[in-house]
Amino acid sequence: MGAYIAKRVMLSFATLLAVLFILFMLMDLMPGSPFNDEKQTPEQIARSIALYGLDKPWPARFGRYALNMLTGNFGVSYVISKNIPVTDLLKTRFAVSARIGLQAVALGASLGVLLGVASAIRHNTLLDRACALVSVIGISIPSYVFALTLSYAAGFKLGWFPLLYQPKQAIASSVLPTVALSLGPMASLARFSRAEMLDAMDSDYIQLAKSKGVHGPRLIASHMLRNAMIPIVTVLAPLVVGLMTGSLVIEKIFSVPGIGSLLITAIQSNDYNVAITLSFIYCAMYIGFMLIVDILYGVIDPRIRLVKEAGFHD
Amino acid sequence: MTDTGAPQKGRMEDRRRDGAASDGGLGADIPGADSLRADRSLAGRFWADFSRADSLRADRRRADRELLERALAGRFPKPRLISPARLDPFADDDFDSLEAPPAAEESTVGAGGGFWRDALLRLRKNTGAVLGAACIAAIVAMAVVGPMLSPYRYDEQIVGNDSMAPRVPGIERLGFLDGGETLKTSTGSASVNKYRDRPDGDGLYYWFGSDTLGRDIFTRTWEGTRISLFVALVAVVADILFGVGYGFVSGYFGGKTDIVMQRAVEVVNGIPTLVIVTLLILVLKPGLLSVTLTIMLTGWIGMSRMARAQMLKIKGREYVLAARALGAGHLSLIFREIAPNVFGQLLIMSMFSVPGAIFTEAFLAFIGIGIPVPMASLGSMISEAFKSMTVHPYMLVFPVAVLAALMLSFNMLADGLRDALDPKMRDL
Amino acid sequence: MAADDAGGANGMAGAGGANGAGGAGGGNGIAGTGGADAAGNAGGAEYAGGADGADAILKIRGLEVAFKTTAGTVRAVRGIDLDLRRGQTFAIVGESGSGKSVAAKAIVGIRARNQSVTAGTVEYAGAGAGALAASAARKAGRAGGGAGQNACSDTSQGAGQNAGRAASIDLLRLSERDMRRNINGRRISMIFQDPMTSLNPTMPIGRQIMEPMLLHSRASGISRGEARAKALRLLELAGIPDPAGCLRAYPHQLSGGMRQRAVISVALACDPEILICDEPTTALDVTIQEKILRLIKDIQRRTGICVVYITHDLGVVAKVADMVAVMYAGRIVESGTAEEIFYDPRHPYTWGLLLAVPDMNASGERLHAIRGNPPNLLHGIEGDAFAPRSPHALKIDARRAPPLYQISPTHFARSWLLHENARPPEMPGELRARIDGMIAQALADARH
Repeated sequence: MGAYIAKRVMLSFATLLAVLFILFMLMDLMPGSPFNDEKQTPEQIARSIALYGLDKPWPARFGRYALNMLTGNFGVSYVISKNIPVTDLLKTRFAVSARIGLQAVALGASLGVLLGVASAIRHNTLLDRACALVSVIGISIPSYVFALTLSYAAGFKLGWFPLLYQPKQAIASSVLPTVALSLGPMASLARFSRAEMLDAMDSDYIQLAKSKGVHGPRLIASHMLRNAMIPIVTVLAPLVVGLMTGSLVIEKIFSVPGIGSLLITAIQSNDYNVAITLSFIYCAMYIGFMLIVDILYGVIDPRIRLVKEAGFHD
Repeated sequence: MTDTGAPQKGRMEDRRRDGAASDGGLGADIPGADSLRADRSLAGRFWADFSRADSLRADRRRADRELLERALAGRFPKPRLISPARLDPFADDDFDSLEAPPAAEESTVGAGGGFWRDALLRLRKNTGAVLGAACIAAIVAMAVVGPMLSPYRYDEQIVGNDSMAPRVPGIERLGFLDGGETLKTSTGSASVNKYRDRPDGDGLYYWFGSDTLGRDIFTRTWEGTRISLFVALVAVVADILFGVGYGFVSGYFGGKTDIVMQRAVEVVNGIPTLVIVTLLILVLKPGLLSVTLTIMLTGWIGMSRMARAQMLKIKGREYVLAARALGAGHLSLIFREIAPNVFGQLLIMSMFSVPGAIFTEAFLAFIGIGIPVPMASLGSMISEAFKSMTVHPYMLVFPVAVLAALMLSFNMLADGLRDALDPKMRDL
Repeated sequence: MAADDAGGANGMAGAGGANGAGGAGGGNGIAGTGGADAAGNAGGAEYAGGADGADAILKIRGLEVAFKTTAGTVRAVRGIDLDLRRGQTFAIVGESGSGKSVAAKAIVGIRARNQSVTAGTVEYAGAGAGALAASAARKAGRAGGGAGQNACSDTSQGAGQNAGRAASIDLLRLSERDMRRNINGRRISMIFQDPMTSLNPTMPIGRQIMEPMLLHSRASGISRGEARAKALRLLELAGIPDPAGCLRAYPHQLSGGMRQRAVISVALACDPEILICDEPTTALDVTIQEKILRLIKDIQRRTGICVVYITHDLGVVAKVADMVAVMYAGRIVESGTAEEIFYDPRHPYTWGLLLAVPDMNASGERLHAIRGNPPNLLHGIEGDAFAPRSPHALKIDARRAPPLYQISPTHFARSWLLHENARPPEMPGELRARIDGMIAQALADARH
């Protein structure tokens, strides 16, 4: 297990560095220089360049850049709020996005797996068909169409929850965005875990378990579900990507002051530094999540955890 | 051969499993003569084994001597009818031998017809897939002819004709789609019909209504569908070509090539789509090209994984090995032997990626970094309509309905195709 | 459904006649769970395959299994009758698709989602039957042991005989819960073809062996520690070198042969009375095949359990079987003791199977294969299912389903060739020669 985790951590770190390198190249390629719109004498500019180490060869600059990014020193915003450190811009927004995102993951994952497992066990019943319909719709309908419907119906017509995000009612106003965001992951998880459950139910080891007298909840929990969870865990990571994408739209629709709406603003106003910082943060979060999933995978699947060290052969 | 090997002996036997000595028991070695033929199947030794005294049966049942001697003398017992107790009368020729036995059925159990014909049959039985296909056909047809049906052009802004509710000739008599809408005012809600309020309103029809700039939503919806479909198709074709190429090369050559290429994929996969989109838009500026490029760059990874997996599966098959042994080159192997067998999977995969591409295009347009104005796409129309959603919800209904129908149909068709082409996955 | 059996008028077997030869066929008529389908079951009870049907612990009568597929209903098992006895090794032989595996799984209550048992009974009369029958009777509010007792008039003698013996219960009528709790693992265990996939990959071997013991602990009163000790003993018995280490290991750490030994340990955990082995060695290489067969045989010698082999490998059959049933297209076409099947085969399909086994003693011979393919069970089968492939087919084979003939108290075959009107059939010369050689050698051995 130790070697396995070490390998995954190394790979994650390598990916992070690769991402940083791409971002660094982009910053280097971007038209204009950070100092061009300020009225400075050539000497001043030269001094600034020396100060920020821009005259050094690129490996040194990259090292410095990577160190800055990894330590949370993201530089300043150029357009959105001039010369305000990006970190300050992020502070409150990150918490809002993270809360909605985590709520959506928790809701979508638990409900999705539950639905999938239930419809696999009650295969070909009304419940199964209903679940199938819900998941096809959930997968096919873009999250923002669902979000729009939700905001129109539950926010505008019925007025159950705030139509737009109110910082004062953080909990109540996070309900609609969370529900809207969780539909996609829920639908695809329901579908996937149903298929995996059915697969597990047809497997030889379930036949053996049945033939030795295992039945009921025990058969489902310790034989079917445990094995079905292995592939289910692997699709969690792609779902998080979908969530990130979805969060942009959701935050726009419900005007949530999160990092998603900040990214849209940054892209539209060409605020490179903010956009690139946010890209880095999204990458880091995603890579971190993939690492967690990989470790979880190892915990569930002994074939990953235990390499064939102790072999029993004929 | 002894049969009393204690379990301990068996264990010892296994522990020195390469030892030649054998004392029988559980893990007993096969006697020397047999190990010479160890590569043959057990069935191969059947004729020798059966009558031999060391057969596993021997201790229980010595050959029935009477039976043997009778058999050797060719005296076999006569069969006696026991079921049914009485036979119906026979036809005269019943016991003639069947000179030309009916041709043995060539098809194996459960099969029948060719693979593709079978698949098509299964596809046609799938209601969802048929509905999906019909819906796609209808939407494509409307995307082609729709903009020509209406008197307006998609970018034609008519001052004064803004925010007209949908009005369709004929249906308007039924009491809806008659140009009326309910507006919320400070005192409550009021029913308004802009067409009636105008002197020239009689001959004026906006089938899907008009937007806040006085453009015809009907024309724009089909124009937008055109763009959405076009972008999606171009992107999907491109990412199939790129993804399949990458996956095939990686899987076919294997070894170091594969390791390097897969590490690269892993790194790229560690970057969320959203970030790739952001960076591309930062470099390229919004437009048709960058949108298409974005979808291509994010779509190929899944495709390449599928192509690689299929390649790995098929390249070890006997018929490919046979072709290779006959001297087929790389290209001929890939295209002649392998590609045709991946085609089904490819078809399914591309069907699944079309709705993904449509979604990405609409998503980009919705957050305002997609197709630039005045071009219409479903996403940008939804984005614009969203701003006046609480006042004129009808502006949202049509583009959203078309988009949702399109994605749903593609998904259902893809599902049906998968079930039809991959009978293993088929629901029983 | 019964159309293919049209030739067999609805005769209820002559169990009385069979009794003259030692009571073959057992006393029981058809319990007829299928009800509507009596004609389809007309094979009835005669396929005892043993000397005395009454002492069988498992009596299968008229078992039919069907699959629903998108193309239609596949009748995989079209009525089979078998008697299983303690200490006996039974082999069911047939090509893939002959329904042998499906039948075995149906007996132990394992079926795919689209599969259903459409007719027949599986009467269990082992140690647990009394209690089960009593509780079933209580539930149903009728007299115990009823399942097997609704005998037809001409079998009343046998039925009376049976009434005095231990109670029996129809496994097919048990609820899934009762089946799992009282039969599976405890009374009937099963070993599957592929040891690579038949162990749960996420559970240590030890837990998988202990699981059935602890599940059935209410009956056996076994404690966790005792279960552990027993699991260790079982692994040792199965010839695994380091039982304690294996107890903790996961399936992927074991080789195929070792996994099959672990599966055998799982199957034997609760000392079952019947062990069904579904192609237990096909997935293993030859040297390990032999070890596994010896292992099962050895365990059978010690415990006296009944072992059923489902196989297409006549080599396995020759090695281990006491009784053999040859299956074709969902039916048993010939059954008897191993000697009867190998020294005196009567059905042309059995001839084909035997001839298809290459003779290693004769070099340079060509291989004999049975021409054609098994019939598609999706379509109804008219006449003899094997006729289209048989070089000995008669015209009647295409018209009427063949009747059942008895050759000896234990030997049965279902073919029109055995009818008195048919020209006495000649088995292929080469097979004749091989069998004669075999008989000569066996006689020589026996004289020693």
